[in-house]
Amino acid sequence: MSNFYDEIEIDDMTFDEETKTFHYPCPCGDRFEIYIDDLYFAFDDLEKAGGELPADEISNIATCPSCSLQILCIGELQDVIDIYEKMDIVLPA
Amino acid sequence: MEMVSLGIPDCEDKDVCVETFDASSLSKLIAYKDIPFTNNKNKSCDIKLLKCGGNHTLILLENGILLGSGELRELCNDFQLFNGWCVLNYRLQELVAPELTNLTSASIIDSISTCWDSSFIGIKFLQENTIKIFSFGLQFKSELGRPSGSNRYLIMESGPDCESLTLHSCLYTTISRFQYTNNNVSLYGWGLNNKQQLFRYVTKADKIVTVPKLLDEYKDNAAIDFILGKDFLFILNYTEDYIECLGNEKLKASIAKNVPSLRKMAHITAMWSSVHFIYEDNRLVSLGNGSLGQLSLDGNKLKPVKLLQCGSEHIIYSSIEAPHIVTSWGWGEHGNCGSFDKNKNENEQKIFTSPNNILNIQENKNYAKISNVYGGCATTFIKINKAVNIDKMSNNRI
Repeated sequence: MSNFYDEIEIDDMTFDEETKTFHYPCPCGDRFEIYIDDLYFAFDDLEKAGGELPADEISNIATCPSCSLQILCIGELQDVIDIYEKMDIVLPA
Repeated sequence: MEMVSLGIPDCEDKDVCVETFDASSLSKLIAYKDIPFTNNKNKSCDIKLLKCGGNHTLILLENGILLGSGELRELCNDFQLFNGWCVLNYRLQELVAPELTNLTSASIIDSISTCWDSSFIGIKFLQENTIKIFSFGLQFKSELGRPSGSNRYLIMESGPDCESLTLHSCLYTTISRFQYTNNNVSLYGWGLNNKQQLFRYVTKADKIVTVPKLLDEYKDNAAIDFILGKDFLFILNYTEDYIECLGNEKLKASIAKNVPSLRKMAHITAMWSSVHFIYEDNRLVSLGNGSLGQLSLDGNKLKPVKLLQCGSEHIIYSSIEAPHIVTSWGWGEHGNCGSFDKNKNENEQKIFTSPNNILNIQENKNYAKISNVYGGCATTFIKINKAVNIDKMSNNRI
């Protein structure tokens, strides 16, 4: 059984320009969150590994600050790069 | 993040019930006030509907008074009656008055619904016999149902001779069901359609439905109901004994395999990611996501059901045999399923795999009857009748 509450496409998440985070509602009433740079590096690692990583190395995970649940963010590195470009944010080094 | 959706003035999780709202004191406070969108004939302060968003809660009383707690966005106002609860009718009138052509027309709040960070209010206009739906709050996936660039709160209106409106929302999607005096029913939907829970999309643009869209019409067939989850919609056609399943593909396949008929169904309810069918013989069939104990009682025969409702990922249940007890199972991390029995092995996420007692009113001599239960985002509300008054209690987090 997956340890994640759900798998959510980043397209279905909301990007907050102010905090530069992707977020998605958590059933506890708070929000799952992941910072854009963290997601960028997570997808970058995943892409370099050919799309598969050992469970303990997966980091495209959004967490909820108020509970123990986590979601797995689904998408491509290019999807995140598109957000950087759209929002005029500098890509991480 | 401060969680104030319980209307309780502190921010700690609760795993025992705490009184949050007393309708009897409200009736004294409002006895002589002329409150907009209320019913002059029905003065009852009984609770008609209770709906929970991500961080706010709405309570609609039978007399049309609407109360709210938590993040109410533009509906927020200073008309606070109790700690955390304010009357929304006056603010509602301020906001919608410019959009109404006939302000003197008798009208009453008829139905409510809550998306994650938004609220929907259906107002019935008694002379015209029509119902208008207004939306308020924030939107992330066009869930307010307003056309792009529009600041109007009115998002849709029924046709004439509309008898009733049922509104229900989950996350970013809302369904409205209009029933007309000639027994016709129409279903509309708007918001997120990412899993094709509203209709099959042709282009990517159809994933977001910005304004209410007619999903289906049923002529002379009022036996139509619906169940809405995070990524699924089931339209229940009792006349034709048919469930139209939209959205989540896995759930659709499970329904086709496990739920042959609506005819022997006594009750259907849904969490965000699972659906629960109670047959007339009290057998429970639970389908969908069970990773947090939501499906723990699948296949079991429950004691005859008095009350059964779902929160985001938990079930709240009271039986006819023990109507003084409310139990719950599923995900109870914030106390919404009650406290762990000391004999049970507590797990980190507080997953309850069997019915856990939340409340036994026999332990409190002031309480006479449990009359309803409601579930929200890791929240549980229990409506209790006293000998002459009505209270509502809550347990869980704020």
